[in-house]
Amino acid sequence: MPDDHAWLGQLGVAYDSPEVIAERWRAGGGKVVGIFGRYAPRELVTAVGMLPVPLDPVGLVGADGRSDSAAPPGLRGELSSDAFGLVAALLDGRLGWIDALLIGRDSEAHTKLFYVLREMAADAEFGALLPPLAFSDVLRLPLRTSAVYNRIRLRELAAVLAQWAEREFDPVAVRQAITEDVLITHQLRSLRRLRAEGRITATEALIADVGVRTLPGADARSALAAMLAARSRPAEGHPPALPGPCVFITGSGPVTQVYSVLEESGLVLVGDDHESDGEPPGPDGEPAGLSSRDPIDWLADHCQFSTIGAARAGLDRVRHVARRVTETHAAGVLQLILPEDEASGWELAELVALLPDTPVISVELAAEGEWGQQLRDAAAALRARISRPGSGGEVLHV
Amino acid sequence: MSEERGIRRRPELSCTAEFSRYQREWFSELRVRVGDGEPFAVLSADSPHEIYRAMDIPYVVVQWWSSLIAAKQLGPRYLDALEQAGYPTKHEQYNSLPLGELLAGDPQTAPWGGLPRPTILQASPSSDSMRQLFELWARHSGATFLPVERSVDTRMRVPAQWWEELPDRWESFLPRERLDLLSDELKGLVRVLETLTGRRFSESRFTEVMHLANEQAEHNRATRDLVAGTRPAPVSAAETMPAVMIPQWHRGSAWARDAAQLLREEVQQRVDAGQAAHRGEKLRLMWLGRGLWSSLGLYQHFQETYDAVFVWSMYLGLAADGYLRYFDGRDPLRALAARFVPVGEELRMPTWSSAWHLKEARLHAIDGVISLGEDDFFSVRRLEAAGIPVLTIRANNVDRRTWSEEDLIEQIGRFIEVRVLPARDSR
Repeated sequence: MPDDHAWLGQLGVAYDSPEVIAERWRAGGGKVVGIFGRYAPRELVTAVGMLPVPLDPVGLVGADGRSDSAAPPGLRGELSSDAFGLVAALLDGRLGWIDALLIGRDSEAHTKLFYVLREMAADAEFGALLPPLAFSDVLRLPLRTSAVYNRIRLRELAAVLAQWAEREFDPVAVRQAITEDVLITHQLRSLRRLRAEGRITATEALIADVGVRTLPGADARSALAAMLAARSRPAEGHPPALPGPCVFITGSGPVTQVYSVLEESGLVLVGDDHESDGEPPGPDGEPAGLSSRDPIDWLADHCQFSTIGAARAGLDRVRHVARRVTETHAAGVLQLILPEDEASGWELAELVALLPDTPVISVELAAEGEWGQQLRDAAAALRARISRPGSGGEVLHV
Repeated sequence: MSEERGIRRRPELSCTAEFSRYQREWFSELRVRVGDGEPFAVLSADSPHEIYRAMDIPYVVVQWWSSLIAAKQLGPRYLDALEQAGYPTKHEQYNSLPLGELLAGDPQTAPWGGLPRPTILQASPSSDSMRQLFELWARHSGATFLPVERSVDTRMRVPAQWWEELPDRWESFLPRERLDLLSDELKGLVRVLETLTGRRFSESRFTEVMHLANEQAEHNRATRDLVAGTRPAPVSAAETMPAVMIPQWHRGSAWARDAAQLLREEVQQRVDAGQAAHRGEKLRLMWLGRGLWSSLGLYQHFQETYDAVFVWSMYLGLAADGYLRYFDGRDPLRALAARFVPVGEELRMPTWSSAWHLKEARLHAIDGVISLGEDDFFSVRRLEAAGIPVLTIRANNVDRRTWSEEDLIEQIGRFIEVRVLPARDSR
């Protein structure tokens, strides 16, 4: 975390050093579950008293290009670089602070990771090095049959988590965990507004987003509240002037290093399509529809219709992205595609068609570490497009 | 399946040419039927074809059509058309080439007069981009996209011997919730197809289709056993690939069942007569991954140069082990679900694929394995541990931008010299 982000406090610590938060939790007798993927329902982990900690693919695990990797080199071709990095970190003890691992079906690379880890867990050479693991198989087709399946799967998962925690499953606790998560999402939405006003950078917002998903719920809410209070105060009554054109980010999962470069290049990143979504809490503090439904059913619906991530999504997600671009008044869109992202590229033409007056730049990012110049070029190109009237409706690939 | 401009296959069986002729005639008739206004479906290989067969809805399988595009060397052109429309071309080429053909808009130069415009598209989201790809294809073609889900086996312990268990004991071998999911989806699919096409689903006809598919699989199993157990091998993979797959795309028809029987009988005759793909066979090779449909003769190249015969591909292997689902006294629609719930996992889920690859390698007395585009660590590990060397090649079978015959011949030749021959000599 850069020094000038020190004011982020606990959120910054959680982002930079999740192991510190995890060890603190474990010192109090608690268990920590590493979460790999946004489609692993963290609320079920919280509900049985364990701490879910996101294993941020790039920030925490890295692509693990180390030659002394503990992961068998032959797995490099089979796994995505994120997944390979995770396996390496599990095997060499860097993730020794998690008691169990929950993988979400964000992409088919995650499915493959689960299959590989399951096989390794049964292997004499690797089995003892791996924590207990589970997979959250949440389907995304908008079908009743998928909804029924998701409910069964989440109940099974809840039972596994209760077993890990050595606790009884309690639906009331799930309801509380969902409510807490929705309140945090609501706070993040306020943070989003500050981002659009230029009071907070996208890099800071991203650090906060990862941080709140790492801290225990109450700590996360108070840390966010403090951050909001600090940045909401009007400086001489006016928001700061925005330093550059407002841009919306879409594509592969957000990466702080990428955001830093783009912001240093003068772009104001007013929104992205990986922000947590969902209904705001009602007057009773609970999210809409929760009080009348089984909380696991609510979670199943929430996962099935989430708009996070292009992988396994349909084109309706693109309509959601286009709506968000309009809401944020972004003057341009930057689509960032990481090397192993097979899905985002299929959204591009549709997005351009839906936003005929908005310039769109698509960047297929090279391997990590070679992004800098690509991103600076993309930022320059987008600035040029935005400053030229009538430059929407066409795509520039960088 | 045919190879037009790559290294041509030398025929080993007479039935394959017959199947190819049938395929052309069938496609020609299909074009007439579609031209007359009949519904037309384009299905991915993991779709429940048997339902369409039972309802007499004409269909074409995406992977077959893509292999034909590749064989005609039209892949680069159609990939260009995709790129021009703003779509990716680095992934999912096997599924996206027909969309490229549609976008290219030039049926005069398309294979066999071109793929008719579909009214129905069906696939499962088996990769991250399949849903977007098929939704876009549906939009461009005006077809209705009917997706079916792909669930995951989340059990921590999965029994490995699927090829022994699935034919009879599929109900207890597969997780109930996965079978329930697909069974319910298939019931819904039948209703949707009845509404979309105005055709009626007959339970009796469907049961007949399912029996025919099982009989076809039994013949394929017998053919596989003949190839595995005979040295020198009576046929090579270059021959069995088209000889198995053309009937496979007609699975559930009497013609397909009879074709599989014909293949079995011709292979048996060759065994009885002592005929071989290559009389001087000294090495037996396995091809893991999708086939080089545009250059089937490449497989035979190594017979002359190294006395090495490719005796195994997944096409006959899976046709032998992957499709049988007996259902006497049970619901045939659920049996169909049991056929497709694990599809893909047999080939690519480590617990199942590595165990199966090793079983098949041993059954066929394999000396070396070439794996194209698979990156299956556990298969490689188990095969190597069993003393069977593996060469892994990163390429896409229908994307000529990723491989060439010259390069493959050089790589495989070196592999045979450096790894396979020494491994055989040390046994």
